[in-house]
Amino acid sequence: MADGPRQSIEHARRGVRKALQQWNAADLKSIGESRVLLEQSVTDIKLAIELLRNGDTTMANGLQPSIASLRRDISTMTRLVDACSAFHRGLSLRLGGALPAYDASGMPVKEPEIRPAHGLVG
Amino acid sequence: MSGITASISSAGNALEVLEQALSVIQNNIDNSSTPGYASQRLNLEAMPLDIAGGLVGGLRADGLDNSRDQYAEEAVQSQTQLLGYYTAQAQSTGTIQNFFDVSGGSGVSAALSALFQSFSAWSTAPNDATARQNVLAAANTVAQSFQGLANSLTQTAQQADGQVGSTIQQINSIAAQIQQYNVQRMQSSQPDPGLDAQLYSALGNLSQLTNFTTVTQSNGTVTVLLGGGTPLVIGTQQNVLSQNVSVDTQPPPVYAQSLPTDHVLDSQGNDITSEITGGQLGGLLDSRNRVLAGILGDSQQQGTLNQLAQGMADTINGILQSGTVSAAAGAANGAALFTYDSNNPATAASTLALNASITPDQLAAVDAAGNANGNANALAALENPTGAQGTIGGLSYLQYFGQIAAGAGQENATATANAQTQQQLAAQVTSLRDQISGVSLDKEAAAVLQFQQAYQATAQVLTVLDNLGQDLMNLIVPV
Repeated sequence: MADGPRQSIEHARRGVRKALQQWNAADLKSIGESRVLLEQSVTDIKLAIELLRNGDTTMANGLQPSIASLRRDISTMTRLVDACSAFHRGLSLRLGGALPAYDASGMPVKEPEIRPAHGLVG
Repeated sequence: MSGITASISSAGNALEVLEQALSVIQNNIDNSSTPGYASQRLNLEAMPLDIAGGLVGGLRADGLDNSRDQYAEEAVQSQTQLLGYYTAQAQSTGTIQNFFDVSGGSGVSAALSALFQSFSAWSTAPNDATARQNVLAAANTVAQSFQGLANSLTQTAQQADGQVGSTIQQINSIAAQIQQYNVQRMQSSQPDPGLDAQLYSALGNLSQLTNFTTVTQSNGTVTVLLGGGTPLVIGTQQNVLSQNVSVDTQPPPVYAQSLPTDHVLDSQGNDITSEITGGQLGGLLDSRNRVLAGILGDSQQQGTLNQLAQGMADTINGILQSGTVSAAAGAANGAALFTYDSNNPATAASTLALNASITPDQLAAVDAAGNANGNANALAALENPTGAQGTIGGLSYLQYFGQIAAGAGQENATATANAQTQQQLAAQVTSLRDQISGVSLDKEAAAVLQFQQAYQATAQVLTVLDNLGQDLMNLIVPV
């Protein structure tokens, strides 16, 4: 366990980075391992918050870049999981016999507007 | 038919069918690395067995099944389009960013600082010939720096035009392949796995270049529609795209002599640029028509670099021309330090020059009120202005240039981060497509549900992490 807010944040950052690197959307075991790493990062961040709230204000000095980097990785991981989730949401809707309501990026599907095709060459 | 004859006939039939099945398997192995190929499976059906009734049983081949999943293919194409977009955007904005020295050690920023320093030195010795000469030399460097940057960015725009043109050619070439596929598809009654592989390989290549959707028609041909619905290929017809680089005329141009805009036209000459929002072409067009145009201008905007060049030149010229070259009665008014093509404000940066006719004696240090170094002081104060004079949008000229440079850097940073993330997304969706390829999804519905639940659980942890990250940031940067 880390012993200061900086170490806790670094530990959390490494956890999220590792979860990101080893994420394999097609492998349930890998998804589970990534989730465990993320849960450990939750614990680390909670500890960092507690230390910062109860400690010396100077402890916060210079932490901003690490936190920004951590948040970027969380954002990337979220996009990755969202995309995989949207993919399977589309699959399950198709399997259910319903028309797909979402495309692969999770956006509602709309019929493409077809304009008159003038001047096509054959 | 006797029992033995029936059995022999049945066994012979089964061997024939199994030979077909082996042939399909061999074909799958042979094509395992063929781009776009999806494995085939021969459906085997048991035939009724009733010897007494003359039904000999055995096996019957019941057509080929294709392991390709249209939904998964479209998901991969969609992610590949985004990857192409961000990658092109990152490369293009990276080139733009390289022309800006944010450290201020060279280029426009350093030249402006040197000019303000020369004004400052002149303000302490308004009649010193060397100080006056230094002002002219520094002004010349400023003009050259603006011209150099504007020219470099213009060349970048021209290179981007070339890339857009070659990308359009590639799109036309792939569209021609798809059109040929449709021609062949219409001539055959059965799907051809080899032909099918070529089609999907072509669609995969197309998705790197532009955004589109496909519709498979009842006759087996594929219709390809660009993002906005303009057809690229319908059946055996192809809509050939072309490029047009010109100053927009609709709406009527505010800046007629500005940097031209890159347009994509359909075969009828209709402008379909706004439909291209994905793939390499979309990324190139965005960098060219939005990012570069924002700096260099277009038919509707002057461009931030031109705004800066004009604003700085007008302010400095205005101060100098309002004063006099000496405090003596009847002394001549000062001359302008800079010139630019005032008829075409969207070219101010590229035409900015030191007034060719100015001499050091024509620099007016004396202000309109008769203060001996009033003008020189006013010019020196432009480095850190306290009023509206010498500012654009509340920023000093140096700060404004810094904002242009930071904007270019931010565009590149965002595009690079997006490209990196998109690389992972595209790889994941490709992996998911490959995973479901060749399996019966109907039989795998339970597995799909399991994956969904696993993603959902991960997403919940990420939501908690995101909120905690925000709390953490608020702790050190109070909102």
